[in-house]
Amino acid sequence: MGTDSEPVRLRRGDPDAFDAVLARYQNRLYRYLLRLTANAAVAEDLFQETWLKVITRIHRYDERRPFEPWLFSVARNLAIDHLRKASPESLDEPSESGETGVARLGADEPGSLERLLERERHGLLERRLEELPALHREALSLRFEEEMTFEEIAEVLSAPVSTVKSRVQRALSTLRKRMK
Amino acid sequence: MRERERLDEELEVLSRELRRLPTPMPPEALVSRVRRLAHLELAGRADERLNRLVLVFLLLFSWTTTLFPFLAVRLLSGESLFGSATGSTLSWSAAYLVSAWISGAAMLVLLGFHVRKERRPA
Repeated sequence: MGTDSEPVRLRRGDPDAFDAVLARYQNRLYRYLLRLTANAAVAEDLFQETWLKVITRIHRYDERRPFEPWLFSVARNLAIDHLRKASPESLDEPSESGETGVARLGADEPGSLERLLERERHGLLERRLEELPALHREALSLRFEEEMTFEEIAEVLSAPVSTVKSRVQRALSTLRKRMK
Repeated sequence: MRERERLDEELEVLSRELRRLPTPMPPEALVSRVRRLAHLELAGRADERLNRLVLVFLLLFSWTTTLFPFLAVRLLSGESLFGSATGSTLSWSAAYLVSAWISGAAMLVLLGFHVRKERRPA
């Protein structure tokens, strides 16, 4: 069964198709929302809202196009609405968890020094990522975590491909400076 | 030139690291809740679809049942089936048919508006 047939079955109201689509995209959608909002509680609310919105809007989905950018654009619109309502300061609040990579490494977990260092580095990278403006976080997440093409990102953001490319480049440069 | 290469290399390393960041998982309770709410929503929408089909069927049925007495009246009064109506009984019968069909059509239009309103984004 192809990826795109599930959304088509979902449009016909098939609950199994919903389960399949949810299972396929739940982690990636949650990660995207978490990166965009930098707030787990908000990301969870938006995650729920997005899936319910998918059901009510699925008749607008064009089955000739890939489902993923459409799904992410639904999530993005909801996130933007939320961020607009929230105070501007909250857009780039650091995440609630100030946990370090070392703290996240359980005491009883077997691991080498390399793993510990890698986790520390990941923790640092995540914190620096959270400090970036929401638009930059979003661009980096879509490009490197979701591994979307520039064209797909442009579809999600409803922006020209050239804008997307420069945004990704700027975000990456800013992140590099902050990692130093 | 060397500076540029070093910068590109650093950005490449950073891109690789971003790709390797661990994926945060949504809480299982959240996923279960979403699944439950979605199934309820889908069931509600299936009910609405069925209700609409029943309404359309009833409408077609009512149109048909109003047509038959009209034709019966015409046949019993010795008129041709599709000619213009003459005489009081036939006129009343024709008026009844037309009003029943118009009210049915009005219901169909209202149903259409309702469906469009439902599909409009919130």
